[in-house]
Amino acid sequence: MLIIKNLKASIENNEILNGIDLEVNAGEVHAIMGPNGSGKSTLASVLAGREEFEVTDGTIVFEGKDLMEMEPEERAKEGIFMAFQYPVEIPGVSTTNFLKTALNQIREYRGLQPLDAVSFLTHLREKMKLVEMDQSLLSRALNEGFSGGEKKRNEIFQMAVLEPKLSILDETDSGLDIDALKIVANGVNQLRSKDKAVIVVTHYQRLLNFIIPDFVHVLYQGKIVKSGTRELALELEEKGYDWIKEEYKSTLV
Amino acid sequence: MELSLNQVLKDLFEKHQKQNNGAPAAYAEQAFERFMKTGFPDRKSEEYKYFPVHRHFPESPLLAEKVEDPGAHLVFSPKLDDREAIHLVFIDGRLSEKHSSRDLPEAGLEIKHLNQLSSTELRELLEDHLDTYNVNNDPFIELNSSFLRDGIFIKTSKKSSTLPVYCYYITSAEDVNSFRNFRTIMVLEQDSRAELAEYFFSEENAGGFENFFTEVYAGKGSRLNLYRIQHKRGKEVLLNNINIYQKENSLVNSFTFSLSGKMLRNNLNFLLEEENCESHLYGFYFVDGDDVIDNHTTVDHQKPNCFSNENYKGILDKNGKGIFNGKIYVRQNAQKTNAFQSNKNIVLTDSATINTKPQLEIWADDVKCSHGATTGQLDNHQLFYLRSRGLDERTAKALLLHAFAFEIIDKIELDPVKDYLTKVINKLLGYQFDN
Amino acid sequence: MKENDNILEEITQSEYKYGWTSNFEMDSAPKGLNEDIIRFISARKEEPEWLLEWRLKAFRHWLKMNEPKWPNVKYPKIDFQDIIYYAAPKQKVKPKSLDEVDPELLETFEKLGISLQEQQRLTGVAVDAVMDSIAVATTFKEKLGELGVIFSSFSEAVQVHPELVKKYLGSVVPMNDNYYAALNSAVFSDGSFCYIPKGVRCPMELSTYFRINAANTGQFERTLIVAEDNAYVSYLEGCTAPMRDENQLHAAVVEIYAADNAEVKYSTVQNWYPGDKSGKGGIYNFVTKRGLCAGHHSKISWTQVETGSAITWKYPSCILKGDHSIGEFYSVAVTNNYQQADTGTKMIHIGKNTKSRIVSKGISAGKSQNSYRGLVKVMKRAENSRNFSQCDSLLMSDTCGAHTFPYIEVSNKSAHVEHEATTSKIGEDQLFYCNQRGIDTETAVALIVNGYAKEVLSKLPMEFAVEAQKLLAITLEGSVG
Repeated sequence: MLIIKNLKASIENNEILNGIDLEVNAGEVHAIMGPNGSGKSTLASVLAGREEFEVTDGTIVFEGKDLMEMEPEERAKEGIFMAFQYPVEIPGVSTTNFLKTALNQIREYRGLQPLDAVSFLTHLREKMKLVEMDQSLLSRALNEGFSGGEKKRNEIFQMAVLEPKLSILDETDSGLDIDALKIVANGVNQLRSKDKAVIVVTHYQRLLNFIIPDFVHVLYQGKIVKSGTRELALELEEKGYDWIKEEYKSTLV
Repeated sequence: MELSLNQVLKDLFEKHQKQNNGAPAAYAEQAFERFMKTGFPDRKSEEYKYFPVHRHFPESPLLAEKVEDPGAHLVFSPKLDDREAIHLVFIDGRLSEKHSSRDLPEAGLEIKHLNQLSSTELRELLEDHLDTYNVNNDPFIELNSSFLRDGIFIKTSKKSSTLPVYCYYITSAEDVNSFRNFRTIMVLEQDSRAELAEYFFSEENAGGFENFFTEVYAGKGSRLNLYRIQHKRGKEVLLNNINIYQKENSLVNSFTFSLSGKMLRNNLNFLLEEENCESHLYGFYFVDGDDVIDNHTTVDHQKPNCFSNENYKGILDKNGKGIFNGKIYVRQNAQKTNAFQSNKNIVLTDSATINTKPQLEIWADDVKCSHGATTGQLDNHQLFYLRSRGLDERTAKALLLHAFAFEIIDKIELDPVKDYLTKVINKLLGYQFDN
Repeated sequence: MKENDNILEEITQSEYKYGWTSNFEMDSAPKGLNEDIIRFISARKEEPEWLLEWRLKAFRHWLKMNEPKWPNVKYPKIDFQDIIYYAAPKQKVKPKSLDEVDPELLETFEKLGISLQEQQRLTGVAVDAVMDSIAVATTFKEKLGELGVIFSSFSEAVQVHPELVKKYLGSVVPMNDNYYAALNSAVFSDGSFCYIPKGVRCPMELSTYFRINAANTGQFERTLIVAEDNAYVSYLEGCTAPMRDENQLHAAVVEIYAADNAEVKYSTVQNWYPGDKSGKGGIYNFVTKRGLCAGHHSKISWTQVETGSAITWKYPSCILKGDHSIGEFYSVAVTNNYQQADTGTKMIHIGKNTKSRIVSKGISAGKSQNSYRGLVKVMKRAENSRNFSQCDSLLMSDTCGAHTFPYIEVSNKSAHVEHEATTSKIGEDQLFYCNQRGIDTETAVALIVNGYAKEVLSKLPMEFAVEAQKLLAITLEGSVG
């Protein structure tokens, strides 16, 4: 589904990603972990198409198409979804209105008829249950005045509504208490299927207790320095990141 | 009336030029030409809409004569604080040596009195340091340059803290026709620091018209705290223009306290000429009796990445008339500007008035700017709360007013200034508690 | 949601879509302005002597006045002798009903989206349409008549209800109020008159559409709305003009009078031709609008969506004279390309316990200049008066300007006045967020802008709100990189 080869990216001439190789197949859940500043969120942003980051080398192919050639909205229409670490507030624009516009543009791209008001609302209601969204949040302005937990839940809710092929969760666990975390993870798990993939970007192992990954990758200094299974995440939880750093340094010598 | 005022000034200017005892002739003439283009503000002048300066200008203005030591007869003596500081006392614009610090500059601090300079020296100084930018075409800036003779030049080049400089401007002239111009030029060289406190006092029978103009050149990386305390007793009109030119990475904190004065007008202009400047404008005015106190400020963001924050508060009592006008300009290439402004007023009587106009003019798109203005009376819920705890109404009011004013006072870093203001403002507000 | 679909449909149309001209035989006055022209206009309209005198008096005042210089707008000097002050589509006989109206005229209004017949049948909105200088048709007259509501063209009101017109004309905006009001008083050709008698709630929205059609013509309409004790009316005004290379002058006057407990809502969607992308042509829209809350507990509410005109100079104001009266001003002003807008309001608090609220949302794009100018004045007697103002500016390019000039004058200690203003640009983060959800940038801008202006748009009657949202999207088309 997604093939990243030797990806290098920089911001204001500082290289942040330093040659990433990653392959994600349908049905898989990959966790990207790493210490602060290792480039985790940058990787997520580059995949979503943020312009601040300049891709200096490498390729990203999504479902056989060159992702780099696409505008952010085209990527979304192709089926890439990013759950933001800091979802932005858009005053005056209700969540419902926002999602309807998005969903119908995506449907149009895929050659589908736009949903009428009734079927759209039915669709919304069904997905709301997934993340235990409160109805009242729908009519409020997008993310405005939402608590941290509500914002994150709203992200997963949007993921459910838009039904992407590849979802990227950028530090979705940060700022969530354990109950909210469970709700969010539960939502994600219900959306897992054999034709969809998820990339979970996180600093802590905690979220991975609830969203069980097939693969875990450790990012350090802009490179994937170690890959493994879920056991690796548990090991990191226990020992921290220092041993990874040491191991990496020794390979450099 | 307005026309004749321009004519009167023209005659006065010609007479002044003939005596040839001020700024170089060409400099003054150009300034006067610029003045004549705008002319003396009349009742239609937007900038002087609420400050009818044309009705308070002398009918036959007289420029002050030269006096040996104007303070010789004066008993006034500012209470010099214990800290080391430089004190300069000016009576009607002339230095009083009797009351001023004698050993002037330390290393890195240079002070000159403009009227003690030869015309060659003055010209050189003007050529080096004067590129006045008259952002709002204020005619009084031009008049000040036209009649430039009295004034002070301060220059610091020291990287560590220099001695604070205290200037006391005391008005004693009683002649209603006296017209006094005073210029302060302050230069902060790269990375230097300075503190300047200016007190404006007057005697009860003082009169006439004062036109002060202060120019501050804050060099790269310099830091300045500027205090202006206006506490006048006389009938004179004070017009005070302050231009602050900031270079890269400089920081200027300006404090303006207008506590009393028949007619006080401050035009405080911050000109942020290079990137990464930071400016703070704090102000407090207490307008009592029949006083008219007008604070106009301009923050002109000319380059990217600068930050300005303005906080002015006012209390209006009796028949006082308060005016606040705050302009923020963000020029087209001043991207990433952050500019904030707040003006809050408390009106204590029905015969007091406040006119406030917070004004934003923005030509760049990537900016964060906001302003807010409020006028109102003391919060009845707060008053009630205090009274229900046993405070009488007068005390409760004083307590709330104190809290309102001290948000500004608390920002002061120079202790003697803070002590002075604490004492005076508490007295004005009828506040009798310890802090 | 539904509105948003409409935006999607409409957004592909960027050019000014109301820019055709219709070919009518015109009956017009020669160019220029003098007392003879005024006599000509007055005679054409078969006006009584007192009205001619009133016009002449206004004209003599005007001659002594100067064009205002204080607005933050720039334009070449207007040659007032180069304007035609009266132009009417020729009609042989005055139409008695819609059936008799010139079909091409009706077609014109169809193109504008105002089918008079449709409106009459379906929406229940009474429409008075003014083309160039004269009123063309008024719908629903009979039904309104049963309630005692008078809604007619101004000229007709002069003939049928001279006593009412005489009583209220100039009572809120005096003939010599300002330069353009004086000019209007001298040469106004038509407009709407609306009278709601005591205790009547007007059951339908009253609506006027203005269109300038003829070239070199100025339009000077005059609207007078009177709401007697306990009356209520909601009034809508829409404006369009054809594309022309030269600038055309529009100097209207609107007066509203509200008696005890009366309420008047006045909504405008102004879409005069703004000029082309290089700033050529467009309407100069110099308008005086003022409401007098004369009675206690009266309320006047202005809502405006300003997307058109090369230059807008307009300050719908409220004089809050009656105790407990309320004034409101809700405004969205969008400028793009070389448009200039200087608009805002005045709230004059005279009575006790008066309240006012100002919400102004400016949006500037292209090389345009957008200014808010407002005055909140609390007089000595206006005890316990309250004002809240919120003035926001949204910038869409680094070549446009946003300016805020709020004047606050308070002479009463119990008054509480609050003013807040912010300036910001459309956040790149917001656009990216929308893009990431699959929404293209153009739609995202429309979405964000409509969200930003929501508080104002929600004050418009439904059918106007939809039109206004479309206009916002069209005006801003292509304004973000």
